[in-house]
Amino acid sequence: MLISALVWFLFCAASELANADSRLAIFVIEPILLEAVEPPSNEQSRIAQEALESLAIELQRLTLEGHELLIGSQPDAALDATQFGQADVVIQILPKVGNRGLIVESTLYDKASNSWAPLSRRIFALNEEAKLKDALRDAILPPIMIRVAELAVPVGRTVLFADCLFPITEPGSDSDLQHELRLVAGLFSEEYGTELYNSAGLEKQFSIARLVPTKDQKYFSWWCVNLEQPHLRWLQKNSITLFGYVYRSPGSGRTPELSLVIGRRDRQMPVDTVVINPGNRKPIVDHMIETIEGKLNGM
Amino acid sequence: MECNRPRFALSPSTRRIILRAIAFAIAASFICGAAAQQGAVFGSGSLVVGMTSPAILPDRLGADASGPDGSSSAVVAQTVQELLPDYLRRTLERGLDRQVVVTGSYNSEQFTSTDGRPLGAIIESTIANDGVRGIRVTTKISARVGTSTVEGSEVLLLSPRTDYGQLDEKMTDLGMRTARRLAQMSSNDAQAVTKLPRGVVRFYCVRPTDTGDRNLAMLARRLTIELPAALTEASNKQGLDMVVRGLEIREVITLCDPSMTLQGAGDMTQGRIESFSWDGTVSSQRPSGSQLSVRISDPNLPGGNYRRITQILIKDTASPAMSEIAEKIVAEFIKQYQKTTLASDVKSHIDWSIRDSTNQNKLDCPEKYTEVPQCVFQGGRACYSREAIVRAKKGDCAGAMRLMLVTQCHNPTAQQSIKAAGEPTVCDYLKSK
Repeated sequence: MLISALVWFLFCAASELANADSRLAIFVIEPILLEAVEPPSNEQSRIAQEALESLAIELQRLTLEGHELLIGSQPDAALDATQFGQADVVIQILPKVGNRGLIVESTLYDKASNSWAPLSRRIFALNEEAKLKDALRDAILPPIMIRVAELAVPVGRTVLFADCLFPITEPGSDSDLQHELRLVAGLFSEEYGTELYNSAGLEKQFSIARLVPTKDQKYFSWWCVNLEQPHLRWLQKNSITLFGYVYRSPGSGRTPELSLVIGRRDRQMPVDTVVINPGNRKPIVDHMIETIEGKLNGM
Repeated sequence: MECNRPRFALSPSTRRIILRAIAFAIAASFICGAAAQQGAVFGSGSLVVGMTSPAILPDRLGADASGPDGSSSAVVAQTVQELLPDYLRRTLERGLDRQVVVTGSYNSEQFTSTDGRPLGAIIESTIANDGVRGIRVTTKISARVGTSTVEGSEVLLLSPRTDYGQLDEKMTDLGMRTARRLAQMSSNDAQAVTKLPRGVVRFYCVRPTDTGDRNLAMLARRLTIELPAALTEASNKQGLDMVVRGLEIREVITLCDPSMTLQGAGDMTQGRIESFSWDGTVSSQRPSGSQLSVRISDPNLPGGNYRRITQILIKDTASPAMSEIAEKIVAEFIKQYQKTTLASDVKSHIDWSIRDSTNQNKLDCPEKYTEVPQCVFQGGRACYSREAIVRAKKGDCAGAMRLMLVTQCHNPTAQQSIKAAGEPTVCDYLKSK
């Protein structure tokens, strides 16, 4: 019920915001199947249901560059055949719960190739409710975010992700420093990504997808701090990603330093290391863009 | 308002030109994507693995499948059957740091998929449901090394009461063990003429010898971060079937801190796939620059766990020439490796020549013994080999090699092996006689 109500609200909101240029991505969370041989207890069913509702809320918070999102469950009045016909991408999430835990499978339909492909299939224990919600979000959302962006790339171009500048603190460093670095890394992550996105320097070859399109610290904490780093394992083999690290220079008090890396799924190439002044970010961001364009352009 | 300039870019235009020139080759192959080496386990691009859905074997132990635990085993077996291929693919990808493409349709004799792609490995899994005793999952791993196929296996035991949390952990562990076994099997080519290094080299920390020297600490960190990519390129240039993996930069920052003990460095190796590893130290050699010392840790090498590979003077410490440094390291590494790992067949060919004193009548191709003609009458190959040893000890490695090849004039395969082992290696071996 909660999912249906949420879906209706989201559908209405999304319809109003619909942008003619954006692609349509539909997420469908299927009803939970119950294992026949070892059925779940009522409590287990409740935990699984709540975790999936939490996943639906997380999906709703997602910003996927160039996409309008619709989230629903099936059968759902909000998602009629017309919408499915218009969707560029459909992601189907199939949960199954039993006495031993929850299996969640996700598959993706791509309109351009008219094909379905599996995205992930994961199993989860049902004993800790809070952990399950986080585990579900961390396992299901990242591959979807990356894959949907990869599929949006026009033929002849390569996707170039502008990903996190991960904050790193040395063991035993104080919490003020950790907080400061996280803040600085968050600001730089959004700013260099946006600058790159708006820059004309790479647009012939690359389709730029920002993975930190917001300054929201909550999103940054999830995507750039809590998840396994760097985010290479979700990439297709031709995708290129930019990421980096913000950390304290050795022996220099609190002066932060930034290392920038160009990565593919199977390789990483550190390209630059600069000392940064958090109070004057523009010249550093400009330098980063210049370095990135220098490395990538004309290759 | 003025910002801090990039630490290593104080002369922007010059630096840009130099860095671009150095990085061009690396970047070009990086951006365009290196040719996929699908058949090799170590490399870049996709690795194609033959894998079919695991079969559930009937209970061979005759264990009781009835009752709660017996039927529970059947459920676990079925769940494993459903999930295992995906777990294996994901953990292979994680362990080998590359995309894994699974094909269910392949020719195990030819080691290719039916559409002709070379396979990096074949993994066939079986699930034995032993009723109340639980479930045994076995992954049989086959890899092509040289011209032959090598095999290994990993086993996982599961209780009938395993829940999904435990199952997730255990199947992930099985996948990682399978990846590690595959890497081990693939890096050990017993048939190789020369034992050139293969596999995954883990490049750990470069530490400064003077922890109070900030510039040295910065240089150490930069070498730790940037050398692995340059080393991989240098290895590829030398035709090595080897990939150098650095630490994640997060680890470099947190674990390569000079205050970390060696114990800390040892802890880093836990859970990683690596055939051997390198690390280093950097010390100040003012005013000429800084000296980088690189060492190898390889349990297969004789003479202790750690061996120094080389020492390199870095003149431009503000903008070290990574490609040049990497090429020197790899060249020295190959030399050292060949020195210590002369293939046993080459040794036995040389030793046989040293022992064989067949004279004129039975000596093969006597007309080729022109450099020391009296050997045809006085000791044959043994005489010629003695002369080769003398020349090697005098530093005339080319002369020593020439003589040794004559002693094997009747055996082109042996000649080929000796040639392939390389002059420095053969010379070193003769010097030890």
